[in-house]
Amino acid sequence: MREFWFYFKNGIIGENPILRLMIGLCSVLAVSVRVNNCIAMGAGVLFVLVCSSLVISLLRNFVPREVRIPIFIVVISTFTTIVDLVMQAYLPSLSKAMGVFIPLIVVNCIIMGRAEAFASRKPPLLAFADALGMGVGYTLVITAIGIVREFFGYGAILSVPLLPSSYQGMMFMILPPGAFLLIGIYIALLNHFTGRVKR
Amino acid sequence: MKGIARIGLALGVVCLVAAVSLAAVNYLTKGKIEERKAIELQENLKVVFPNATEFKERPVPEEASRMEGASILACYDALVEGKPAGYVFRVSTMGYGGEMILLVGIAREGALTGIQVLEHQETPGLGSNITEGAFRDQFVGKSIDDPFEAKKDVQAVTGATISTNAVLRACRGAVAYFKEVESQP
Repeated sequence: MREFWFYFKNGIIGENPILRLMIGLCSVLAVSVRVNNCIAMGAGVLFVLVCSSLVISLLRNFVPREVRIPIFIVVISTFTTIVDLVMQAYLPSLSKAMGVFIPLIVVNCIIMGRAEAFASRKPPLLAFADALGMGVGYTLVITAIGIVREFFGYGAILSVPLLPSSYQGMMFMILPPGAFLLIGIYIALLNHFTGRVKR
Repeated sequence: MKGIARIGLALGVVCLVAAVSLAAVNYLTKGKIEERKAIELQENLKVVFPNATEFKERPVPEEASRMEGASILACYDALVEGKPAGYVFRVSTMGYGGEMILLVGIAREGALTGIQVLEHQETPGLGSNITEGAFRDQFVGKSIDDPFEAKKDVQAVTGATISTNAVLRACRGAVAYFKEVESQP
């Protein structure tokens, strides 16, 4: 159980996929303009990551080394397609807003990376803890980026206007570079508070 | 040889399980997705032609479908209490990020009743603003004799000239096809 919490926390802070491993940034840059997109993307990644990590961990002794990558891709793309279809059926407006980024979870390197580096070597419970931690870590950071970008870019949060309508949206925050800047700031903050930088 | 067989078997089993589960999910969601799409189409038709009480699809002849850099995918007769009041055109054109599909409603008196973007792949936060009300409302009531050019009679979306031009191209295509349909008996 202690190991479970260790790997869960590891995904959120120690090896946060966005701030520490710096993988899967493409979807972060593209989707994080609005908070509800961030939450949906986070939920999608979390679901696919947890399910595929569990399955890959259960299959780890059955999968021959030579074809592990194709098998991982089949497993991941199956779960991604399920998310895509279910979203289209029950959450059509969100599915529209996410557009191509839901199918692109297939090639999100967080999921592939965790499958290869963790789930294929560890028992299911630990793979589950790792996937949960990574997924939550991803969701928290992308949402934190989304809050700032939507606030400065549109003067709103969750599409609820907070600033007077005379507010001129900050173009820089709407465009992908805004996310780059924020990721940099968050990395600096995380490093500062976890004492990574020796003064 | 034995190794190859084992690799093939593992890959085959995984693919089979994946295919079966995807088929099941597809079977369960297919009806719902199609139902949603049909309802959505009716709602969207209503948005671009609010007065109409009924819509009837009419066939679009193959050779007439390409207009002013846009293609007419479908045409719906908008009926007000059974009498034809105008048309809604489903138009496809190329945007900045790929194909864009719009609905353009035109009343028989020669004025646009509204536009709606159904599908697009424009940049989120920039080109995607073509779906916002502030941009689309400019088209309501526009005459079919207007030029439909950015910065002349239409305010472009900031930072998204190409997306704006795509919408305008679709409008010009719909207007051209409208004129053709109206000139026929």
